[in-house]
Amino acid sequence: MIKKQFFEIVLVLLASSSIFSLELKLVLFQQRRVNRESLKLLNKLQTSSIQQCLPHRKNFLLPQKSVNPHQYQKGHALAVLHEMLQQIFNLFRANIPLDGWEESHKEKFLIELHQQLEYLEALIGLEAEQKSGTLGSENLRLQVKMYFRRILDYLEYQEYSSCAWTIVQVEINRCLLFVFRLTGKLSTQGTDS
Amino acid sequence: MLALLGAMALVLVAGAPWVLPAAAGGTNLESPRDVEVYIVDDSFILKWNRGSESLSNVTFSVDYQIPEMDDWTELPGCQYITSTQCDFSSLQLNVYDELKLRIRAEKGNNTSPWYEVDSFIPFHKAQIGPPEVHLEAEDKAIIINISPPGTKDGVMWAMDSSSFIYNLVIWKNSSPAEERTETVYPTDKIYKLSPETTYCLKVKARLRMQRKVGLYSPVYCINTTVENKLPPPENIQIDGNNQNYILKWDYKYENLTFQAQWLHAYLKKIPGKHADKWKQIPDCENVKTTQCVFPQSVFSRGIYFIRVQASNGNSTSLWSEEKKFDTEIQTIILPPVINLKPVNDSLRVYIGAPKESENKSVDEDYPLIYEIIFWENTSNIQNKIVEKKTDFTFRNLKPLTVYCVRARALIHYEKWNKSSGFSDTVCEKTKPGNTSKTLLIIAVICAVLLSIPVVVYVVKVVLRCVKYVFFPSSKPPSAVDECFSEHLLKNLLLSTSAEQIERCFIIENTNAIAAVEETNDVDEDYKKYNSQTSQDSGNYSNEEDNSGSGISEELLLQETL
Repeated sequence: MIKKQFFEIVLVLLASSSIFSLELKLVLFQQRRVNRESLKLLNKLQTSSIQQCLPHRKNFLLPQKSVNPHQYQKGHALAVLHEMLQQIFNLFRANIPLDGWEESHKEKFLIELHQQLEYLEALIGLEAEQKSGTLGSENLRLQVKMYFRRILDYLEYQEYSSCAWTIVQVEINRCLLFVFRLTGKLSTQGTDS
Repeated sequence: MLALLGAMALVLVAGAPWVLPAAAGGTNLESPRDVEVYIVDDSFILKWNRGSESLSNVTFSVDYQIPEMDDWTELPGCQYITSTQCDFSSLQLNVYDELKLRIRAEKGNNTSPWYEVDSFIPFHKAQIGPPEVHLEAEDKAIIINISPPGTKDGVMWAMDSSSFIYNLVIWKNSSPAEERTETVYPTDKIYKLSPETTYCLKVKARLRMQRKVGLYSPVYCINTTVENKLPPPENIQIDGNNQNYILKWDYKYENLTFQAQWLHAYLKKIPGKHADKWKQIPDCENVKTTQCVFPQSVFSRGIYFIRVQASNGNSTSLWSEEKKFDTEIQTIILPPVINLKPVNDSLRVYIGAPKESENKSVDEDYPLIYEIIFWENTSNIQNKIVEKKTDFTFRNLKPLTVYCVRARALIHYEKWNKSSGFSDTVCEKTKPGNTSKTLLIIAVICAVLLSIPVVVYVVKVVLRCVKYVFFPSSKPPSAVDECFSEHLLKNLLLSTSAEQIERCFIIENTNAIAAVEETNDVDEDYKKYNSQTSQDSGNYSNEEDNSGSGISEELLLQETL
C-alpha cells in the first residue's frame, strides 16, 4: 500500500521537476498538486509498518541547509538536482531485493528517473555551453553524494531489511520534496532571466 | 651587514644536511621533497623525493588526518618505507571528505621535520582509470560491452558508475590514420563498418557532469564477420498519430517477414548485458510489410530503444540499428493559440496552450519554443522570429495598419526536432501611432488657443451681467436720480420681505409711469415713490414703452397700501 503510494508520489514529483519550461504558472499548478499528493502520503503513512520501523529511524542529514536553493545560481541548483536524481536512480537500479516492491513499480520509477536525467543532462549541457558557470557546484555534488553514501551504508548495515527500506523510502520522499522546492526556485529564476 | 649575516645563516642551515651528516651523527635529517598524491580509481599512491640523496638507511613514514579526527594517525601501508613511494589503497576512506597527509624521513632515532601535503578531497583528485572492454563482432557492426573503471567493490566511483559515458576511437587496422570517434553507452553497438575487416579501438570513460576525463583503455582489435546474406532493416522511424505509433523501416528485398523489439533505455546506463531484456512489440511480429502499427498504450511515458529484424524463413538478418525513442517526443504537439492586443505603436502577442491541452499535450513538460510568422496584411514580406516567451511585443509598427501573426510550437531537444502545425492566423489593427498623437496634441493646443477668446468673451458677458445686476451702470433719469439716496438703495438690496416685493410690483408700474413722466413732466410726489423702490427702473421702462399715460398716481398709491 505504502509502496504504491510512494511511487505515485515520486512520479508526480519527477514529472513536476521536468518543468524547466518558462511557465511559472504551470510550476505553481504542479506545486499545488504536489502539496496535495504529499498530504495524501502523510495520511497514508500512519500504518503499522511505519510504526514498527520507528526504532530503525536514522538521521541521514539531508544537506538542505548547505544546499539551500535560495543561495545558489541556476547552474548550481541544476547540478544539485541532477546529482540527487542520479543518486536516487543508482539507489533503486541496483539489483538489491526490494522487499515487497512490485517490479513494475520499480521499473516505472526508473524509467521516469532516467528520462528526467536525460532532459537534465541536455539542459545542463546547454547551460555549460552558454556559460562556464558550474564552478562551485562540485562541492554541492559532493554533499549530495555523501548524503546518499550515508543511506547506502545504513542499508548495508541493516542488511537491506524491509524496515530499513521503509525508512529509506520515507527519507527519499523527504529528499524529493526538497528537490521540488529546488525546482520551484529554478522555475522562478527561469522566468526572471 | 645584517642581510649578509642572515644569508650566511641560511646557507648554513640549508647546507647542513649535506655538509655535516656524519659529523652531527645524522641529527639533521631533511624532509622529503616533491610529495605528490596519485589516485587512479581506487588506488592511492604517495610519491616523493628524498631530501638528501647521499643518506642510506633512511625510511619514510606518513600520517593522515580526516575532519573527524583530532590528531594525526599513522597511514597504513606508508610506515618505514625505504623506497620513495607507498600505496595506501587499503585505507577505507570517505572519498568525499578532506584528507590531510604529512610525511617525514627517519633514521634511527632521528627524524626530519614533517612535510605537510596540502589537504585535498580524494574524489576531486582521483583520475578515472581505463575501462575494461569486451567486444563481439557482427558483419557490419561491433557490439561493445564496457565495464566501468575501477574494481567492482571500489568506493571511488561507486556513486557514479551509471553516470559514465564512454568516448571511443575506432580505426581500421590497415589504415590507422582514419580514426572515427563515438560516444557510446556501456552496452552499445558501433555501426557502419565493413565486413571481414580488422578494426581496433580504445575507450575512455568520462564523467560529463564532473568534467572528468579518464585514461584510455588498451587497444582492442577484432575482425568483423563475413557479410550476412540478409542485411538488417534500415532507417527505422517511428511516428505517432492519435492513438497509435507507426513504426517504419526500409528494406532492400521483398517477401520477407519482420519483427520489432523494444528495450528500456535506462538499462543502457546500467553496466552489464541486457540482451535478454529486449521485448517483442505486440503487433510487430511476423509482419510482411515494412511498417507496423501498434497502440500507444504499449509504451508508458519514457525513453526506449527499438530494433527490427528481417527473416525469410530459413535465415534471419542481424538486428537493425537501435532507434532511440522518447514517447514524449512522439506526442503530437498541438498548434498554439494566439491572442493579439494593440498597445500604442506595438502589438502584444500572447501565445496560449492549445485548447485541447487536456488531451496529453507535451506543453506541460517541455520548454517549447515558438516560431512566429508576422506580416503586414497588405504586404507579402513575412518576418520569422523564434521566441521562448509566450508573451512578447512587436514594437515600432505603423499606426492603424493591420498586421497578421501565426505561430507554431517547436521542441528543440538534443537530436529531436518536433514542431506543431501552424496556429490560425490572427490579424489585428494597430492603434493610432505616435504621428497622429502629435497631431492630436497640436489640435488640442489649437482648440485651446481658439477657445481663449471665446472664454474671454463669455467671462466678459457674465461679468457684465453680474455688474448689471449688482452694480447697475445705467443711471435712472436725472430727475429720478435726484431722489436716489444711498440709504434706500441699501434697503432694497438687503431686505427681501414680501412687502418690498409688493412694492416692486407697484414700482413696475411707476416705472412705466416714470417713462411716461419723462415725456410728461410729473409732480414731485411721483418722484418720491419712484425713488423709494426702483433700482430696476431701466428694465421696466423698456418693457412698457407705451403703458397708458393716463394711470393716476392715486390708484397706484392705493394698491401699494
